[in-house]
Amino acid sequence: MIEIRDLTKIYGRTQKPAVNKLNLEINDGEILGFAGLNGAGKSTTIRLISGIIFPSSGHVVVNGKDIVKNKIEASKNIGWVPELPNFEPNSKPIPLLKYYAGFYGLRGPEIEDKIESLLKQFNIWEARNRKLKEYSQGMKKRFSIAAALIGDPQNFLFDETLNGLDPEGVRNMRDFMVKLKKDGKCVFLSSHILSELENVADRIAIIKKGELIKIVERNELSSLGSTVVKVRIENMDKGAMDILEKYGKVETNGNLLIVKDLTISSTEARKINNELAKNDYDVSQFEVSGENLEEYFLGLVGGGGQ
Amino acid sequence: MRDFLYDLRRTFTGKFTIISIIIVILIAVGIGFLFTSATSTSSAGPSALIDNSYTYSNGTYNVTFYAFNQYGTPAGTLPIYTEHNGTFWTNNTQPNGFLNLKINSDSSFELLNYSLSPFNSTNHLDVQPMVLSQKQSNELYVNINIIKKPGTTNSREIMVYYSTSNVSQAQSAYLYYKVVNVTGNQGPLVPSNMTYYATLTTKGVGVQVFDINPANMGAAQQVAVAVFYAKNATFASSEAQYSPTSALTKIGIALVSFDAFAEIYGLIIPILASLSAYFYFGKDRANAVLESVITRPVTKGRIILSRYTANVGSMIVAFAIGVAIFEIFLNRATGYYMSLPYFGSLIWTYFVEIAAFTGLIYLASQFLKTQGAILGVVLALSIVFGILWSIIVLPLILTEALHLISGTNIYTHYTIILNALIPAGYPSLVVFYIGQINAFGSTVNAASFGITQVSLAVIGVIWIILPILAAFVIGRRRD
Ligand SMILES: Nc1ncnc2c1ncn2[C@@H]1O[C@H](COP(=O)(O)OP(=O)(O)OP(=O)(O)O)[C@@H](O)[C@H]1O
Ligand SMILES: [Mg+2]
Repeated sequence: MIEIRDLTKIYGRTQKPAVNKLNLEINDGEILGFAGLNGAGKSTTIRLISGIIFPSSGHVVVNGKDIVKNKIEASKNIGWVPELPNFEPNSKPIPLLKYYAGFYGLRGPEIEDKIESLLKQFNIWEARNRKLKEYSQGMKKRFSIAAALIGDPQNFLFDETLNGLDPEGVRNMRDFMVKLKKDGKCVFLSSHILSELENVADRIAIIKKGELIKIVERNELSSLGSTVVKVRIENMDKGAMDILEKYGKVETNGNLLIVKDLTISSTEARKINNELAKNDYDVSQFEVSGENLEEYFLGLVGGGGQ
Repeated sequence: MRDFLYDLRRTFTGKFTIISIIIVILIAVGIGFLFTSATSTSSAGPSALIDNSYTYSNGTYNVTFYAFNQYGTPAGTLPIYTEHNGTFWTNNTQPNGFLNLKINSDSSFELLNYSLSPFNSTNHLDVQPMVLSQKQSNELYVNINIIKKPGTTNSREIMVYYSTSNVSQAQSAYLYYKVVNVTGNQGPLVPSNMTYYATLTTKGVGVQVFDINPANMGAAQQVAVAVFYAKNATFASSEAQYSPTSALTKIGIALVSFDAFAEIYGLIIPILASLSAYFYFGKDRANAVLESVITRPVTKGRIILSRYTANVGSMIVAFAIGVAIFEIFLNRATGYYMSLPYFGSLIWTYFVEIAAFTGLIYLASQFLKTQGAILGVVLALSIVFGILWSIIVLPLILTEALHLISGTNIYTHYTIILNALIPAGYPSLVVFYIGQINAFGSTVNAASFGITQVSLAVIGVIWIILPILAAFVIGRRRD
């Protein structure tokens, strides 16, 4: 369980906060997706949680322990899988994992067995005698997950871990995360592609310019992707809006109007166009479509990261 | 503790540490060779010494040459050039250093010229004449040679060469000695006012070595030795005077080697220590390799300390190995080891310099974001305030910026202040204290310039603690 309270990170005096008063709870037995465009502050948040960088203000509490004030205890329950795996290039996996294990007070034959099973589980046992700098990106990524598991932490931070994996890799990874969740672990997974999180996250926190703008619950997630009507009206006025609002919730995106949560079935959506035409509105575009998650996401966070 | 051990092992087996150890060893071997070649026991050649003697019987003069080097080691296969009655010969000595020549003549005098270099005229500079006479040829002949004590640079002992025609019955001769003042009247060398040391039993031709080393000799005293054919003789058959212990005493040797090491290693410590700090910490920090360690149950402060310990430890071991190797050379050449206090102050000096430069790079790494920037500081620091410091930078500051005249006390004073302000100056301070000699070779009282054991300890401790403490305090709270 990770509790994030008013977390703020300002990198430089002249820079806007990279993370601004973020409040979030990641529960045990939950996969919380963390979505935002490039530069939104996802990695910053994850690095703050893992104790790599220090918050400008606010707190991160990991299983009841503050990551700044009680770093050692808090870190025992953090497994961080970085965006870009970056390990001692000249090290070999086994000695490096032993080194990491030492920080958890793990030693002896027990840890040797654990390392062996982790390396086998992530399919790098065969490459155990090679230096990490000789590993492919995929191998490095798998090694970094093994490294995150070495101390058997309660909480996992995956920074863009699905990104760059082949379809099979994505499926394996998702299965792995679901298994962690079933084991009661707390999983925080960031991505700049919302749909990547769609099939795995229980909730998705959406961050824009360092601020949390929405948490999409699981049930809302399934309703996303419902039918919407997109209309462009050249002689738009209040009357047109009244008509549209009879059929659902209207959002504007430029001069494109999007009618969501339709009160009529999608097959009857043409009625809207008919009524607009009857009232002499000049409809230059009329489109009935299922809005995908990405469009929804962009609608929320659109306009660039920072 | 495991993290400390891992960092130690990783650093000790790291490529850069191994390269450093090799460099340091090569330098030690280099200094060692310079040191021992100056005191070599094997070079004979033109510097060989010759004893000679002869006997006469039945129309034949039997001439014997004995060639040896300054340590009394026989010089075998050494050509000896001789001339007799206009005939020139070249003969090599035997492996035992002896060379025998026969000259058939029944005249009562013969002249034999010899030299260690080829000659075709007896006017040649190196040519030694040897007068052979029937009359003296049956007496016992002795000659005292002063030689260097093998395995030392300058300690001396004597080698007595003897020759007698009587090869079947031994003849005795008596060796006496006495401690004399180098200056002043020494009185006659006769057995009655000397101390008996040994009896030589002579049979045929040979040498015997004696290491006479009277206790409590003063600096201005030497040993006079003499060989007498009888214990009541009124004159010596051969005599010599020398200093048994060398001018280069143990302390002298220790000081010379200490200076060499403090200065030469003092120059390369800055570059090796700060590069090591860069490779095992600064670089890892800049390229974020350390992040995967920081997420573990550990603090940044502890990571800094364990890496620092490994860095400093590996460098000290490298330099200690270097000094140890030099000690082997030193011992083979002189029979001495650098005394423990000198060895101790060397290691302490290295520790101070290594700790300071390592700490400074750890400190700089907290502020610099890229590998290139850290490497830049490493090079600038170790070149300007390391290698070039005592050779160029310090003299330039003193003469050009401070307009001080070299050789003056005020110059020495500022030298000390500046050396205390820069970690690369620390070895010079220690050398100054131990040698009590300023940069111009004059004897000074270091204490009158504020350099005492206490002030050196304080400066050293400050350099050991301050940079790493600052790096630790800043680093534990920085991203
Ligand atoms: N070390 C740093 N120093 C200064 N600014 C930084 C630093 N790291 C990140 N930033 C800035 O903070 C903001 C958030 O960056 P962050 O890496 O957290 O974004 P992100 O959501 O992970 O993006 P991406 O999807 O590209 O990984 C960006 O504007 C970035 O430029
Ligand atoms: Mg990121």
